[in-house]
Amino acid sequence: MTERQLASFTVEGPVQAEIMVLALVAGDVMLTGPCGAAPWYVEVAQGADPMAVAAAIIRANVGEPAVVHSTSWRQARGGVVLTFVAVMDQAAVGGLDRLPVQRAELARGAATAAPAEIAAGPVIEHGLRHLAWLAKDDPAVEGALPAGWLGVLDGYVPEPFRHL
Amino acid sequence: MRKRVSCDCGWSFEGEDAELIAAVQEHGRKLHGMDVTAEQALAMAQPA
Repeated sequence: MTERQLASFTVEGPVQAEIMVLALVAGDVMLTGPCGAAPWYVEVAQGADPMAVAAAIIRANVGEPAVVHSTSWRQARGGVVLTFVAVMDQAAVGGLDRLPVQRAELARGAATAAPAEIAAGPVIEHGLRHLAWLAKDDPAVEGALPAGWLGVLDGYVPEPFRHL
Repeated sequence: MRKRVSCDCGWSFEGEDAELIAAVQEHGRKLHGMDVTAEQALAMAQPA
């Protein structure tokens, strides 16, 4: 943490995890978590495994996730942000603030450059597209998704992990 | 003097220095994996 950024409480560091906690409620994908529907940022300490950090902090604050998977990375917030999608059973997020996920156009960059700016919507959209890809490609993910998810993900274009 | 601190995630806390430091350190560690010193916690705060 540097003096420059002490005016407000914000997560920083060269590697940050951005966790999108998702649950299916009445057929709608909801963005939720301990920060409500705001992106949940977690500092990843030097030498730590980002996946292990994300999974552990989800377990500690929300509950046992059905699926946790990294879906994209981008340069932002003064470091590298690794986005993780965490699919939770509806019962685990019952008391948390949430908002329905809206469909969004993906942020597209040039062949050798990232998009100039990326809002949360395209990050979540890509996360769900990657989840759709995993659901078709990875039997472990397909089997772990709670009821209803496979049908919802049919509406998303499957995409691999990517740089946003 | 009571102070207030807010986190980008929407969490906020208001209180005296000692309880504010404890709350910020707990929030930082539990929710964001951050180790926050007492000095850093106070530097984040504004008068309530």
